[in-house]
Amino acid sequence: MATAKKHARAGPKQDEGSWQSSYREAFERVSIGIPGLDEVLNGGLIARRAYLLRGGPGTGKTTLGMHFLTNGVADNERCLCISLGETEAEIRANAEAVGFDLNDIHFLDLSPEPQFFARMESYDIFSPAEVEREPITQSILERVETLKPQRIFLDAMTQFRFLSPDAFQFRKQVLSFLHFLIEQGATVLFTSEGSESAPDDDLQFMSDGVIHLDSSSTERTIRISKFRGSDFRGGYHSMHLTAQGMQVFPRLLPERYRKEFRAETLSSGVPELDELLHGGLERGTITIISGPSGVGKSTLGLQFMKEAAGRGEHSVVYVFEEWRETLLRRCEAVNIPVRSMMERGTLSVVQVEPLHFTPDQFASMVRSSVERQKSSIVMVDSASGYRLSLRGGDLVAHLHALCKYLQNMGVAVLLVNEVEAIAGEFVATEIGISYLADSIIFLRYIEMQGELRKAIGVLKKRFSDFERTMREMEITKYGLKVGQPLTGLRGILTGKAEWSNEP
Amino acid sequence: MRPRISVLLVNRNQRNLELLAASLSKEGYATYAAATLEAFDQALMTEDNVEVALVDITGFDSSIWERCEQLRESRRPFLVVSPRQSAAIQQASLSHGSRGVMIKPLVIKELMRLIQSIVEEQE
Repeated sequence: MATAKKHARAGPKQDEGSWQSSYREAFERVSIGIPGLDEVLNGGLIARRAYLLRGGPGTGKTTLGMHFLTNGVADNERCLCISLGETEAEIRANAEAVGFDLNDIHFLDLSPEPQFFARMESYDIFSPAEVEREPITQSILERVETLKPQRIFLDAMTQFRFLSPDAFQFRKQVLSFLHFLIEQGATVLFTSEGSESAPDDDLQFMSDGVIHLDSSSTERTIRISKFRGSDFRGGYHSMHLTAQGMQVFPRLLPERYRKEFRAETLSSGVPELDELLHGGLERGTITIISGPSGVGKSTLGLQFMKEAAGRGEHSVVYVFEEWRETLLRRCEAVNIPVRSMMERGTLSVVQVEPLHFTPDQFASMVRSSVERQKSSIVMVDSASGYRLSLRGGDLVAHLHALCKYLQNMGVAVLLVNEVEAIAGEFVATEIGISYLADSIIFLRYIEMQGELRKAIGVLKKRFSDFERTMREMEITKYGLKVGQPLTGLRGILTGKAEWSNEP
Repeated sequence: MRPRISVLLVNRNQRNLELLAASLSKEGYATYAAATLEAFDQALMTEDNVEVALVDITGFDSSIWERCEQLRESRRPFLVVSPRQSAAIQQASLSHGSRGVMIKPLVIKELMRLIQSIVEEQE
């Protein structure tokens, strides 16, 4: 985020016209200090404007405000926190508990003093608007004029509603107040405690941007609904409040990512399998490996990764259902040296804990692997595990977006898809994701002369031709073995293969 | 130099008394505060220079009307402040000599204008 800010603030070139430098100054970006949120805002807030931060209790408004202020301090800016609710001591204690250093932040604590209650200082002769507005306004004016802060966090603007006799005067006062703060050179982030019973629509109209924080029993989200003078990433984005503050995981928009890559096939390292696939799987394509439990889907995927490791390429497996250690042990037992691949940095095996991640957070993790480790193959093991383990709604849409992103980045995607039926009528996938696939490889148990065997075939391959016959597949301690085409068998897809007597 | 006009403030709530005193002082009035009936009685006996009174009836019993009568008898104009709009309070206030009834919360500017007009009337 610091980079984004520095980039945004780079001075104008010598030969730039004055209008260009004024434009640049007018749209100078201010990083909030939360990388994911800066990304959603296309680089941060536009400086010297006022933004509304709205959300219910416990949604993270103050935490976001502390990120905003501490990031300013890190950039040697004067930052002021104006509090009308929590006391300075409470804000400091809570912020320091999650690692914020507020030493260089200036505070204007306008919260009610304890004496108010202890001395029975309540009154009813005049309205609060008559009594409180003037001293509060005066305190703010004096502090802002002396400090000239570059960043102001005000919590909460809705308190001023109680200091205005009517809605018209509230609107007029807030607008005038915000203009004053901006004229003093500040970028202002102010909160509101909007609810159905006390709507804050007027504040949304008055601000230059609106950030919404929401929380449900399963997920916290952040959303931008307005950002004057800038594009932004729409929709709901996952947000986490952690021991280190707030983290935002922008919703993945695949069309924003594109990487040049060579459209070449990736060999599996097993000649018969490559023959079946007419060379292998292509970079930048999505392949569904479908089959019943225990038939060898993960092993097949890891076989491609073993070959990629031989070329020095990195691959990553996200394990949703099986324990990571079990997978590693199984692979080692069938001559896929996963541990040495991991040691050499050509393989990552990531255990995804159930209900620990949201789809946006998972996508962010995958992006990090693809963009930092240059992963060439990504395997999601399995698609149904993805649906069951991630929190939130519309998971097929999220999986779709993730796969399209990987495709655009030239990554070969392997989606492991478990079908319930061990034998019987053939089903490619049971969770409605076959439309995603460029290629579908299916594995089957077949009964041949009373013996349970495995067969592999290709159902679809968009970028090349493929072998129309199935082949027998075996997983041995020497590795994956694929036999010759099973041309003399019929009824393989029913699960009960018979030798054909026809010539 | 014209002497400062004294306003007697009768109010149970200490913070109300402080706010009223502060607002009136800004406008150049002297104030005398009474938070109890005893203090009110004391003021009626000793504060001869009180020219106007502002009586908030909140928290007082009906004996407040006897003191209002005394204000009338001593020809000191006063205003009654009521916590709510009530025909009964209005009638009682006017029948005991009040110039008018104001409903809380008061608007400072309006209060000042009213006191000013009463003072001018007296002059």
